[in-house]
Amino acid sequence: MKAIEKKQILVTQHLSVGYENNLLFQELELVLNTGELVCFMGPNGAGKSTLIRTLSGLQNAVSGRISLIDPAGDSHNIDTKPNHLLSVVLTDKINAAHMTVYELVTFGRYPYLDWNVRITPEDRQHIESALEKISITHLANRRLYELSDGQVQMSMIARALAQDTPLIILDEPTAHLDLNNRVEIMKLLRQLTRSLDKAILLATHDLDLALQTADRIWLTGNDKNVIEGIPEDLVLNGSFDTIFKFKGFDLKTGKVQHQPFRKPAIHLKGEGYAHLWTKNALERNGYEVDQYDAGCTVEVKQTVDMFLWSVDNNKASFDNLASLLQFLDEN
Amino acid sequence: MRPTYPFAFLIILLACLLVTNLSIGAVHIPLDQLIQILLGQEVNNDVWKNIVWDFRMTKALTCILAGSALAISGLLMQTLFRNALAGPDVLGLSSGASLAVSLLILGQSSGIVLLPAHSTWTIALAAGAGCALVFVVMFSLATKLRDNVSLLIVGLMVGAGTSSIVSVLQYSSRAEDLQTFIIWTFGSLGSLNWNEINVLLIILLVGSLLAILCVKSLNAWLLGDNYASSIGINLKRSRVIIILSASILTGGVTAFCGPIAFVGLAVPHLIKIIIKTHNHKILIPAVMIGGSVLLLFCDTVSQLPGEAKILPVNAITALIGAPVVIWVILRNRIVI
Repeated sequence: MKAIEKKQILVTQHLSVGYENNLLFQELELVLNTGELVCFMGPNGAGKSTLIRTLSGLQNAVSGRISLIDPAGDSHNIDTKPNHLLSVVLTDKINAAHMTVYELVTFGRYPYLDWNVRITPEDRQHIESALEKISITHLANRRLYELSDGQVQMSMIARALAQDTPLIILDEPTAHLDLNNRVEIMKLLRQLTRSLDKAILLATHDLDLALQTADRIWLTGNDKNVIEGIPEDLVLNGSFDTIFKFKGFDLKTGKVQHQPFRKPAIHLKGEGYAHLWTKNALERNGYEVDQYDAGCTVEVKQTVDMFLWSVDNNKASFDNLASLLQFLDEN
Repeated sequence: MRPTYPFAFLIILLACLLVTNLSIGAVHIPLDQLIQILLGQEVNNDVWKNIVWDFRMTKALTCILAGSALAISGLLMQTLFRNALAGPDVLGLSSGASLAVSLLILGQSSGIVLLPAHSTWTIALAAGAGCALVFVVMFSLATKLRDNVSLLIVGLMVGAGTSSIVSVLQYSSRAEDLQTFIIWTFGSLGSLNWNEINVLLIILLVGSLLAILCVKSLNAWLLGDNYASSIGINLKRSRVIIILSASILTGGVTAFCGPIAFVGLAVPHLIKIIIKTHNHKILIPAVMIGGSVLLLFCDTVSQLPGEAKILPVNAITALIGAPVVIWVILRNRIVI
C-alpha cells in the first residue's frame, strides 16, 4: 500500500504567543500536516487555549508568523481565505437554544456566502454530507436545547466539517462528556484524518485516549515551549512524567500505583482478563501481587459461564471477587 | 422553510388594526365612507376627508414607522449584546435625547436658553442633537473596545448619568415647564405632519437598509464573537454598522415622538415566538410588521376612553406589552 503523501498545512516560525506583559510561548516552530491527528496536552494554566486561539487566528501573535498553506493550491498561492482553510470548534457556549442542528451546521457555509446569506444547492449538499459523516442526520431538525452535551459537540464538529477546510482545530472537544462520548469523538476525529485527509489539532486532557489515537502529541509545561513527538516516544523518554509530575500514576504501565500495605504477598495464577482484573482488585486493596515466594496462592479459572477463584490449592473457593477479598481480609 | 403563514397572519392583523385605528376618534365616520375615502373615491363630506388624511392617517403612519424602527433597533441590540433584556435605549440614546430636551424645556428657568421657542421641530432638533452626542461617544468607543459587554455597561452608565442631570433640572424648574417635559417623556404619536412623516420614512429606510446589509453578521453573532470571526465576519466593522443603524432608528423616533418605551424590547421576543427562526433575513421584516402592529394597537387602545382624553402612549405600551411578554415567557419557558 502506497503511503499517502503528507503535506504541510500550518507552519509557525519564531512564534511567540500570549500577551505583551505575559508571554506564554516563545519561539515556537510547529508544523501541522494533512492526514494527521495531533493532540495538544499540558496542565491547566499552561496557555493551551491561548495558543489554540492564536493558531486559529482569533488572537494576534506577539511576534513571529503563522503560515497557512492551501494543500490543494500551488505552494505560493496566498489568495485562499484563511476561513476556507481552517475551521474551529471552541469551548464557547452557543446562546441560541431554539436553533436547529441544521441551522447550526449551515453556519459552516458562511465563509462561502454573500451578504444576503443565499444558500445554494451545493451548500446544502455540503451541510447534508457533513451531517452524514458525523452520523447525526437524524438530529438535523432537533433544536439545540433538546440535545445532550455529546450531541451538541457532534453538531459543532459537523459545523466545522461543513466549512470544508483541510485543517480543523478543536479546543477541548471532549471536556464534560462521558467516557462513551469521549471515545466516540476521538475515534471520529481520527477517522476524519484517515478518510478525508484532514489535519486535526485538538487540545485535550484525556491522556489515555490521546495516547491511543493521536499520531503526534504536542506537550507543554510551564517553560514556554512545546515538545513534539509520537505518543510512545514521549512516554518512554519521560516527557510526560516531567510535565505532568504524576502523583501515584505510573504512565508506563498505565495504572495508578498502589503501595502494598498488607501481608501476605500473593502469587496469582490465571490468564487473560480474569488475571488482569483480579490483580487490579488485589492491588487496589493493598496486596503485593505476583511474588513467587508469596505466602499465599490465588488461582483464577474461567469455566463456560463463570469465573472461579481458589485459594492455596482449593482450600477455599469463590465465584466472585468480593467474597475472595473478604476471605483474605479475615485470614 | 419559508414562514408564509405567520407573515400572512401579521399582515392581515396590521391591515385590520389600521382600519380600526382610522375609524375611531372624536368624530364618527361610518366604515363604508372611511373605505371610500381611503380608496380615493369622492365623498360628500370634505371635513371627513381632511380628518382621515391629515389627522388619523398621519398618526397611523407614525405608529407604523416608529414601531418598525424601534423594533428593528431592539432586535439589533438584543443580537449584538446577546442579551434578551437589551432594547433600543441601552446605548443611552434616549437618555441623551431626554437630557437635551430637558435642557431646552426646563433650562429656561435656570437661565439656559438654547432655542427661543418650543415647537415640534425645536424639540425634535434638541432630541436629535442629544441622541447624536451620545451616539458619537458610543460610536468612538465601539471602534476601540474589544467586547460588546463593556459597550453595554458604558451605555447604561451614560443613561444613569444623564437621568441624574435631568432630575436636577426637574427639581429646579417651573411647574408648567415640568409638565411640558413630562408630557414629552410620555411619548406622542399624533403631532407629526406629512413633512415630518417623510423625514421619519427616510430615517426608517436608511436604518433598515443598514440593518439588512448586516444580516450575515447578525446571524453569525448568535454563535458569539469567536465563532463569528472564525467564519469570516469582520466584527469591528459590523458592530459599527449595527450601532449606526440602531442609533439612526432610535434617534429619529425619539426626536419626533419622544422616548417610546417597551416596543423595541418586546417585539423581537413576540416575533420569535410566532416565527421560530434565527435568520435575521426573516426576522428584520417580521419585527417591522410586529412593531407596527403593537404600536397601532397601543394607539388604538389609548383612544378608547373616547372624546378628548387620549392616554399617553408610553403608559399603554408597557401596560399591554409587559403582561404579554410575561405570559409568553411562562408559556414557552425558553425565549432566546
